[in-house]
Amino acid sequence: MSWTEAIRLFALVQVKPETIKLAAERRRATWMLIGPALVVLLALNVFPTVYALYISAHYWLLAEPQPPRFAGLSNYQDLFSDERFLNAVLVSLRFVGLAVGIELLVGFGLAFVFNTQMRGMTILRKITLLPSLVMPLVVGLVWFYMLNENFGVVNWIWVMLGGTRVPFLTQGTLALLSIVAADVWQWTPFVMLVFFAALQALPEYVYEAARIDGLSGSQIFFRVTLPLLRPAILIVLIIRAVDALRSLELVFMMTRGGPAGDTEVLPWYLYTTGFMSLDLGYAAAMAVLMLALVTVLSQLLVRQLKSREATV
Amino acid sequence: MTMNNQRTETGGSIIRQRPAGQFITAGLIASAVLAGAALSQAADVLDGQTIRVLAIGDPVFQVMQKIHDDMEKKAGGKIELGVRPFDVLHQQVLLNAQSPTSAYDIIAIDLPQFGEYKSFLLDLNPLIKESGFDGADFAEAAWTGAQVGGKQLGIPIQPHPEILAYRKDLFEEAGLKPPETTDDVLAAAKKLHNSKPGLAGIAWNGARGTPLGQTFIQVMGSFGQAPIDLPKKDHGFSIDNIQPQNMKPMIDTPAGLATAKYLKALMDYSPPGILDMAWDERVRTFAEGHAAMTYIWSGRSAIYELDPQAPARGKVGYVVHPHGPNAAPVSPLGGWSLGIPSNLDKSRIPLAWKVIAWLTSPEMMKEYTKHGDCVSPRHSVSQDSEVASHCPVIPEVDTMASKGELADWQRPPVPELQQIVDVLGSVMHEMLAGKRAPEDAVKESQRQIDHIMRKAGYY
Repeated sequence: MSWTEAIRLFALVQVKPETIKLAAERRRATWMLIGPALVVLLALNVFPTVYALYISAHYWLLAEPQPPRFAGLSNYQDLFSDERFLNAVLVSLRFVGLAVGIELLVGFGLAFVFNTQMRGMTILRKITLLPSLVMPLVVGLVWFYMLNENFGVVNWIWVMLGGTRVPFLTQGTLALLSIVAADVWQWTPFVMLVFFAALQALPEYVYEAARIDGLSGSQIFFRVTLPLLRPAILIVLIIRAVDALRSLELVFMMTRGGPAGDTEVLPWYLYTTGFMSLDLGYAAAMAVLMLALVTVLSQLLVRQLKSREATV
Repeated sequence: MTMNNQRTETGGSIIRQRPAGQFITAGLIASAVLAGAALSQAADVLDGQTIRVLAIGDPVFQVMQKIHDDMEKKAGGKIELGVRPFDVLHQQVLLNAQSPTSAYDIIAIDLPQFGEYKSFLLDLNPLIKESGFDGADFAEAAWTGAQVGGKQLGIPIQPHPEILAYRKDLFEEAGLKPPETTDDVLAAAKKLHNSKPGLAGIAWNGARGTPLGQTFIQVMGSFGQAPIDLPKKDHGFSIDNIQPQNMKPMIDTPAGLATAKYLKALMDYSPPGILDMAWDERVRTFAEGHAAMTYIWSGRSAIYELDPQAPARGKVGYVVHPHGPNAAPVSPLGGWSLGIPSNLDKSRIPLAWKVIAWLTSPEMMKEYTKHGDCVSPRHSVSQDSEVASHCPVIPEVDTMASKGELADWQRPPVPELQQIVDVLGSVMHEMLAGKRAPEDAVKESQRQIDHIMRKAGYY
């Protein structure tokens, strides 16, 4: 059966599905049409996940000439007693909470500002989007040199003004906040853009009705705008939370997990284990747990989104 | 303490001393002969063909990138030079080894990696013999460091030690002598720290991960201890035949504790941001005149020695790694050699060898020094007055080599080395940040590395 014939049959059986022969043909056609996508999905998503599960049950140090050795669940067992791993999970959650929280708040505010009909907003909006076009590695490098205690322009200006040097990248809390600042700088424009698009799509008649009903400005915001924006907020939250949880570049360029592990996020620990120490089994176990964490987090948010859709 | 006239039979732990005069004479003759040979070879070395080199972003390969077009003209062919960061290079070499046919003709190998790579590198001895390539002009530690089990697996191109650089002018002004011991370093750092606005006592690798982990094991070498239980040999250790029983970590030892305490003490005399300082930042801090001393891989001295604007230029003295009590002065030798993957297509081996011989020729070595690589593994080039004038560190390192003060056991060639470095780079960083006491840090590092070794099945 050729592709054109499959497509023709698919269209045909939609019109007359009662014929058994045609139904069988339709099944064949369906498989032919979804087959390529299925193969790609299996190759790119399912196979790597299954392979990661397989590796995670082995001791495999790439630097050793020996083949992988079956290790059962010992890699997972080690992970749960690995203080560094548990610290990395906590740091990751702290980073995601701070960065995504600030991005949502600032992005939300900016979207409202840009939604006003003031002059120059279009150009300003385009300029604001620029940071999200820069490679995260470059962002990390730029912020590293900006905040560096010795060569950084921020400290230079601060010292010129009579202040003492600020250990942006070498003091625990400050280092984490510095990475959060770089992430906020890069991704707030994206958040703003999504909220801006959602605001633009809100129907005017709803506001007219609210005004006729005598709602005040703040009541309109909390009872009309915010509930209508909820799907957009949840979508941004899912995208940004999952993305921030996987973020590696800023830590790589700015602190390498220091000082003393205070900025060691899970992807950085995974990277050093898998790609520097070349302990593939342990890194794979970590990746599997990270996948579970990301899945749980995103599913919680997706459920929120679905429950909202069900009530609308 | 000297180690004159001592040598190792294999492994290249310590270098045999040769009288300096003999070096100069022999070196100049060899230089002239080999330079002539290299020049005549250069034009037809590639003969219109393409060579594929997998390398690292270290000075010598950065210089090759800089003079790439000239090199291609000289060689008469195309040079595909892939420059990668350390970790990426490591992965690519390992993955390339698993392919049926190598995608690269020549690969760069770090000195501690020869043990790991020995099963997939070509033995160059037959090629050396056949072509009459002269290995005697090379520093012996660098030459034998590229050997495993009698096989010559690489030709040194940028082997260099980590040494201590100090500002001669500041030391003279303060009435200080060049530091020989770790106590001298601390005393000098204390005296010079903040003696001028913006001047720190010493810059070093305090950044988390590999920078600090590597520094720890190298400084521990100066306290007379290798990171694992290697057999002793002369004033150092032997890495010739490492057995499972040698894999026991040696961090929770008096030397390990002394190292931890020494690094902690250095913190008081370090530049701001020391906990985020790695190789590039420490050299830059020193070059800009913000530190009186720095630990430095000798080849990186070109950053200030070749920069007319650098405040440190022409004012720097070099000493071997200052040692702890009862330990010998010894600097860790690292750096790069060129080798041929054993899975390279047989028909390409002669070309690969011809290019290695050309890239490591005295003529090319001298060329590299002019463009920012202050390293020479060849005695003939090291004694060249022109080279010494723009890279004063080269003859100094040659002298250290002659005294037997360079060794390669500090980073033993075992597959778990990077894991050891990673544990130390993480735990010791917690100590420097004040989250652990030195005693606790060495115990925790010992525990973690012991777990790694047990997991690997060594004991």
